[in-house]
Amino acid sequence: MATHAHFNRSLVALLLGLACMLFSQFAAAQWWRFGADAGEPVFTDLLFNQVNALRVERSLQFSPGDLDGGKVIVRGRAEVAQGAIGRVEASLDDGLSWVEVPFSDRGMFAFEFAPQFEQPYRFKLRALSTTGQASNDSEHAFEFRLVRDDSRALAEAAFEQLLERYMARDRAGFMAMVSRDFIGNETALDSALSNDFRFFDAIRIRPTIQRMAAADDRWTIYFLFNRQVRSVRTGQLLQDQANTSVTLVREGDGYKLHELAAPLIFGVSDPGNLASFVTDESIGTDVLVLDRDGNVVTQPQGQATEGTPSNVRTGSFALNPGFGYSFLSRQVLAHMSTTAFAFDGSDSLSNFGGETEGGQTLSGVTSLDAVTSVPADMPEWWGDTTAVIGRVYALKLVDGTYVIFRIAGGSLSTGPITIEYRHQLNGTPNFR
Amino acid sequence: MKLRPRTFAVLLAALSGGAGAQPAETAATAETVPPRTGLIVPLTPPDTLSAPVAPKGPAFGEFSFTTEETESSLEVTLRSMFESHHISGPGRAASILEPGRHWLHDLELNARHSLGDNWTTEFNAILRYTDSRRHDPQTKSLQRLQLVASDQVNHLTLGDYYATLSQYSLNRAIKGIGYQRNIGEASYVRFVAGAFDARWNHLLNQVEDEPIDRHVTGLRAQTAGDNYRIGINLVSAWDRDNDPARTTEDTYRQILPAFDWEYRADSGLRLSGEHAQAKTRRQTAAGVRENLSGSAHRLNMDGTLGKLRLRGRAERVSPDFYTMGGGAALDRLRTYVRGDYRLGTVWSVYGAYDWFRNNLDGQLAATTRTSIPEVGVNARGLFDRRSLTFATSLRQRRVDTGAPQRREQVSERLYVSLADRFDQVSVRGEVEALLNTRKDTSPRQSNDDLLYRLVIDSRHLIAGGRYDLRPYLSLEHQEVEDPGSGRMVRTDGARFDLRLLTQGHLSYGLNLEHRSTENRVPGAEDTRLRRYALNLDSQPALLRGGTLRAEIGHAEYRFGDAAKNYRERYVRVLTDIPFNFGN
Repeated sequence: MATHAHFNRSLVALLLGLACMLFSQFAAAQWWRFGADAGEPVFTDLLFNQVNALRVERSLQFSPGDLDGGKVIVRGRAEVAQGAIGRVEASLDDGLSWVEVPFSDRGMFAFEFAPQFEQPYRFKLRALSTTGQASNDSEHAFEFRLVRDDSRALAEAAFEQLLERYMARDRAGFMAMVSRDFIGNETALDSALSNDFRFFDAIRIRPTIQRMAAADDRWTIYFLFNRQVRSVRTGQLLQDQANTSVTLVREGDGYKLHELAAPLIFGVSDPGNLASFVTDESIGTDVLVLDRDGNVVTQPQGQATEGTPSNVRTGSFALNPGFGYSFLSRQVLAHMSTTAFAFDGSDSLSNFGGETEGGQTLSGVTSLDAVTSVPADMPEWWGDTTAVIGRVYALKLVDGTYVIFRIAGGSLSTGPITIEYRHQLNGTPNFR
Repeated sequence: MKLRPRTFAVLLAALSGGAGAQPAETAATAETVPPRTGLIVPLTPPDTLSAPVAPKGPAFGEFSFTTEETESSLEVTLRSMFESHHISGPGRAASILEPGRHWLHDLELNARHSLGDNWTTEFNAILRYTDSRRHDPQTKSLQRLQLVASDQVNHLTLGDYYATLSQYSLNRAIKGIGYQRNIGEASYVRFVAGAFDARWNHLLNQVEDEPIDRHVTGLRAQTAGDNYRIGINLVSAWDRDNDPARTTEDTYRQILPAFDWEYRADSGLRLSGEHAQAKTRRQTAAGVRENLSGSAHRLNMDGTLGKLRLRGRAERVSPDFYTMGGGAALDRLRTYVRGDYRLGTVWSVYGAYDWFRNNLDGQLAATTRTSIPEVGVNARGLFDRRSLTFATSLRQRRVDTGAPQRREQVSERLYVSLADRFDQVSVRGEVEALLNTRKDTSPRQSNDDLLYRLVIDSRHLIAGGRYDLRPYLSLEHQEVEDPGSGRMVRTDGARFDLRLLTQGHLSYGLNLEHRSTENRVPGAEDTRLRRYALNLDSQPALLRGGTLRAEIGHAEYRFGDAAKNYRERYVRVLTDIPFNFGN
């Protein structure tokens, strides 16, 4: 696939080249003048009470709590590169009628109106310069509506919109709904979303809201979710069900994502940098985990935000008789000198792989989740190499790292058998 | 008797005979307000655009009382959901849906009563019934129970309460008591005490999934002026060590003082921060006790210097800073800065740099350092088209994990977006490329991913604005190179939504989605998914201000191995019926 990688890089280079050509082609055009557009006036600030409405494109909704004494006070500033501002006008009926608004030398202006419930106001704003140039009145044209919904309903609607954008894999649209004061790491969230969308497909999340709580400008939504994703790598469908919460804060033209709890509903690949606490009810519940290699597994949610230590690699593979597995190169190989162990068929494993320094059977253990740590020193030769479905084994590799693996299923006599494993990469025997 | 607006709306809607009636407030106040075009009242131009200081006192809880409230009122709302799922095919066990017919009912009560001139009381409760474990672990449950009493100075909440002191100290819903006494307009003292139990059933020990009992007591004092705010917080929290719900979990007991502040300079610069110290005793299930002491500090900056807007954040949270009720990413040292520079009315550029690391006390065998530089250009109004926007960014994410298993992962992301609007039709195209390289023991050292997306969105008012038609089309193609095998996984997706809104609070929706994946990874298989759904939203007069939503859908999952195929058919009906009483 190196050819394809080369193709992708070439494609990206081509895109960049086309972009450069686009700019050079039109370099002489009027728009290529940083900051010196045509003499049209522009609005550089626009506030509806406390809400920044400069970038609102379609609609702006206010709940009764957003009003200031039952009114909306609109404040803004108009600027022009050539000449001066000569007139500012506003309309609430899509430009059928305009009201002139006084402005200061600096282009500052203000006006107010008292909206009625559920009445659509088709807001427009325009300015005229002293040189006769008019601003484009469609730029600040949107529908304003005072809705009966209280802040609770608006927050709930914003939560639904976040879910929709996530399920539609719209990273840019989702990040537009993340607060600038996001408590986790918003840069990490952006990267984690990229990973989610690379390795998750057909995402379905069905939340049932358990309760909502508010303080100041924030709403926290506690919910039980049922989630299903398809692993892009394997095509497998995976599900989980757990309790978690998100917190939204009023910012700009709506509620924005402010805080995430573990288990994560968004940005699943990086809980350590995104979740700021763990939902108590979900501790011990199996939740989806996405590792940096794109493997999707379900693991119990721990007491820490990271469901599994970040240095633990998880995975699974299938072995036919006569083949072994290398945990260091993550390949199925026929050469025992470069693998950790091999499957012989006939219900037995070979324990003299060149990648192994020591190992042993973990007697009485049937699940990888049950293993919190393994002995730091293990015998070079395992005591019992009988292959048993459900049995868990521990290995110390030649690089000083530790592995636990379990025979998950398959035919022990003829193969193939399926092995699931965890590889602790930080050099400690601790798997918790 | 004074009619509540909502009650009046219901009466008027009923008299006028249906959902198509105009909103009650519009009709009721039509004689007292000027025509729509005359609503704009010009004001004296302001000197500053800084947001005015809100004249109201400090916010508390989620309830605010106004003089418009009646002496007594009772609102009862019944929210119901019925769903019927039919799943067929050999792989039906993989479906997310629960087969059969299921119900969910939430009955919400909200009663208000005024005591004299100042005091107001409010009672809230939500009772739930469901026969589906997918919605709630209990068939019958009390979701909410709350009693609030307040006047202009005092606020008292019993029952469900959102205990919020500061980010590091306490920010969690509890069941217990919350009391706040306002001192002037911007100063107050807040006291909270209770349990973190998420469900009332937990307090009654009725459910199997009950977590360990966790209790908290907290106090916050805040004072603020025109340009500053200071808060002092003290939290004590503890787990019940001998809780029968405990299995292998550690238990904690802690004292956490915290100090938070904010300062706003006249220039628009905003600085804020918080500093906390946690002393925690951790006890393992085996009874081993360990004392932990950790601190957390954060500093935020946001300001504008002419055409430059700067944002910055620095945070250090030590590995042993454990907060039982607050929130923090433990064991992190982070700095983040971003600057946006407006070159003019069309162009703006930005640069950002994020750097963070863990293993602050050397407690881990390996330290992971992450750096993410990013630059970008945005334009709005290209080619004299105000709606034409262009955005591009280049981000590099480098994750470096030290010995003993040294690894380095570098991911470069190039993003280009172009959007425009042609009358009522908006078009947005996106290309995102991820070029990943790594240095570790992986069999492959590089893999690239590409994503293309085209979104067409429009809105059409027809029949003189009586109908609002909103079609939406999204096309997507993604190529992911499997990091393990280097083989390609190609996904194509298409989604079409159509919404028709009428003036009578009636809307119809159609959703179609198709996704197919061609997977060349050994052992993996191709998959295909088709979904469609029809839905209806309405506010019929029969429900007296309530809402009705009905949805019917079909989904079909197909795999390379036909034994995994399955189909889903579902019907879902949701109603929201309010009953209001007042005097």
